[in-house]
Amino acid sequence: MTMVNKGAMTKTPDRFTPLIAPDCTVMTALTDHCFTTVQHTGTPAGQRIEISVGGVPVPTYLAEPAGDPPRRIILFFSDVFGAFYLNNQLVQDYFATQGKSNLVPVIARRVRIESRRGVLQLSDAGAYLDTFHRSNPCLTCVTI
Amino acid sequence: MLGIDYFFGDTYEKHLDEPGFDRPTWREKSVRQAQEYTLGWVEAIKQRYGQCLMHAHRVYPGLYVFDTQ
Repeated sequence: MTMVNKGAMTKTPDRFTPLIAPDCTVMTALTDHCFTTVQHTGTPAGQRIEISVGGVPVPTYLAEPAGDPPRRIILFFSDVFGAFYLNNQLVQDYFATQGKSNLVPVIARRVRIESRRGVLQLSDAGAYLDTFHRSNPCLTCVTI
Repeated sequence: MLGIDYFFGDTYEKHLDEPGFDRPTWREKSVRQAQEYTLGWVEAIKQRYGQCLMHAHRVYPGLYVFDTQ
């Protein structure tokens, strides 16, 4: 995997796109690190559903917070271990329990945010998500 | 929280103990699957849970790129 982030963000932009320096290189391949895992333990709280895409049922992990229906939908795009890998289920469960105010710092600590122009450093992720939240009122994308 | 299984069950976890597992071939197959279904999945989610300002530019496992419209 080749990841280059030459352009450190110097301020919080108003829009998503300018957040990434234009000379960044998006990752192009997978390395051994991508295939390495440390097994977590726990009991997932979500459920398996199927989303029909052109008549094909696509397996989907659904984690919902207790109480009122969520007003925001978060999409989770997993690593090579998949959305149903226990580690990833637990991460999704945790995101589902968090409100907007708590979600950003959680992501900033744990998730690498990638864009079409590069990979944000962890310290930038909070600002990125804050920007994304403001411009996307009900949908958030998370990749790990 | 919605997580798509673009591997359709054939994740790398299933191959952890396979000596000499052909990662590139597996990756290529997984990329094809993801390209075929992920954007449709996002559209289906938007239909089910409401329209949102979101646009996907490029897709392959390990990197999903979204931008606002």
